[in-house]
Amino acid sequence: MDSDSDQPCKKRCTERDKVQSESASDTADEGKVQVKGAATCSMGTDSNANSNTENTDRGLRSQSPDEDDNMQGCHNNLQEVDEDSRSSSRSGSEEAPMPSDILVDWVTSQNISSFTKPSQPCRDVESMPSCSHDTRFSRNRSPANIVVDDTGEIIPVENLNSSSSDSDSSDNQIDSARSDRSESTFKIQPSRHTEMTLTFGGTGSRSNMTHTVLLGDGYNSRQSVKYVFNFRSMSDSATQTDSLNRETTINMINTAEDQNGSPYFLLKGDDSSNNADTQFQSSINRLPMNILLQIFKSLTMCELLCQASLVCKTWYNLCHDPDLWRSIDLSHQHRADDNVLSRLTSYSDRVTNINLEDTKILTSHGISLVCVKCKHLQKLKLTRCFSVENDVLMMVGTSCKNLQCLYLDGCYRISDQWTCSVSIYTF
Amino acid sequence: MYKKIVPQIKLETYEKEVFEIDLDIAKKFGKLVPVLQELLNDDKPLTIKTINSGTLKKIITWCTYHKDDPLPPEDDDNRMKHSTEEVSSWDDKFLQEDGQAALFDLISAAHTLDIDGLLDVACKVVATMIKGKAPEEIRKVFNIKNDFTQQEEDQVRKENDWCED
Repeated sequence: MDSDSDQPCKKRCTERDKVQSESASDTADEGKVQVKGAATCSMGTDSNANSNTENTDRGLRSQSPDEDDNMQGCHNNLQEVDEDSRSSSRSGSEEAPMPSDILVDWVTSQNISSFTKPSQPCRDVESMPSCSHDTRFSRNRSPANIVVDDTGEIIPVENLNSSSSDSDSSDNQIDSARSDRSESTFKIQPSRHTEMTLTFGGTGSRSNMTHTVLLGDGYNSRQSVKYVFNFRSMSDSATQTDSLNRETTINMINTAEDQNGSPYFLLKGDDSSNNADTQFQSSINRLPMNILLQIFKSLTMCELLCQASLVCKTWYNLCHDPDLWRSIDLSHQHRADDNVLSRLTSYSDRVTNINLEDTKILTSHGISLVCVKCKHLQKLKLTRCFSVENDVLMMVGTSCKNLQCLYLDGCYRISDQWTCSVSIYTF
Repeated sequence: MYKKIVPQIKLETYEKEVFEIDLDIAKKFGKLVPVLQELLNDDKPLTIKTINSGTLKKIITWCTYHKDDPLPPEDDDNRMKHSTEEVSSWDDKFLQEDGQAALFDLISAAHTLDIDGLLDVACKVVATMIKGKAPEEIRKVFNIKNDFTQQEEDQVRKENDWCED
């Protein structure tokens, strides 16, 4: 047990050092970080935004020098956590360990409150210990340990944001209660946690388990934040625990200076292990996420944005999955402007195909910016984009090293010698 | 002189019913391919608890019907073309005749057994159930609860109001 909890702690120490040494360079080097939150939609409430700013202020003031203390606290805390969830898991009746694949996605919107469909009502919300712990998230301590039992429960955002007099607690943890659901969402609004440990525990395993964790960050300006996620399955057998450790580190930097809210990212652990008791579920949202994604792949962009994304929050998230946005077709969308293009290209960091045929109000500048952003672009169709000027070619030539196909018919503002320059750069 | 015997493997479902499946059908089950030889030699059935008998029966019927289909193309371009192909009317009827719950069971099972062709087609059928419907209708069809607040819903609508069909 001891060695078990020691390990991630040490890792975090080193991670932490790295964060601090890297934060300056990260700010400068956008290419290094995987941020796609720059262009986002805001759906939040004002109270959320307010608490963000408040948190930021606090966070900046207390760049804690007592780091060792914190780490020690975290160590102890982790042990507690281990024991907690072990004991809770022993009481459970199920047995197999949990999450297998971890996907890390960006939610492109800010301040969307809890994100999942409660397809089945939770059995014991009241017994959820999180309500007593979660207020600590508004404190300036770090790191945070969040223990998520195998079935999980939504942590109400309001609770997370409210501050309490409980300022001495160095551990931030959320234990989720058992409930009869195969999906759970957590939203955490940390004040300045540069590191967080998410522990998905519990011995039980339901088929198609999906954990969704939304982390908000209180930083508004250019700050680098690093989260460390430990995906650990707590089971009675220590060997199983070891084999299921997952760690995902995310560099996050919010580069949009005019942005008032804060970016969230979505973390999904999808366990499609098999269990008999879910086989008769009928609801579409019980299907594994990757199946739903495959279904959504057959939809057109408009069907995704105007129909599917409005169905429920789970679908909204799925509709903005990077997998669906590798290829962007805005052809004949006369009302699509630069903001739209910028937003759509921010959903995935590997956009390979952009079709802007017959778009009317996109500007040359807007297209240039997108070309700089989409470094993996292979095919760009600018047919009859009348505004396109030479600078777009300049950007395409210097940024898109993988470009294979470029359509420029009808772009009359581009002069011949510039098309030559593109071919020199890229082909 | 020996009799020609069709090699078969045995699968046991959730209801403990044992199915004997011809080898060339079982080859479509991607998950089973690595263990096929073992299963052939073994007289004990392989138990798959997540699949019920009805679903396995359907899967076997589907695989038998599509036994002679060409393998899906390997390269990306052709796969793209393949993926936009229409669902045949037989498939459409076959997959929808038992209702939504059965279809989702079938999808889960196809996912578990890794039957690409069936999964593809079934996902397309579900997609056609989504297409052309307003969000409210989609919720009704799939019995999904709307967890957006009015404010959030308006926001998403506004965000996408540039989009025209």
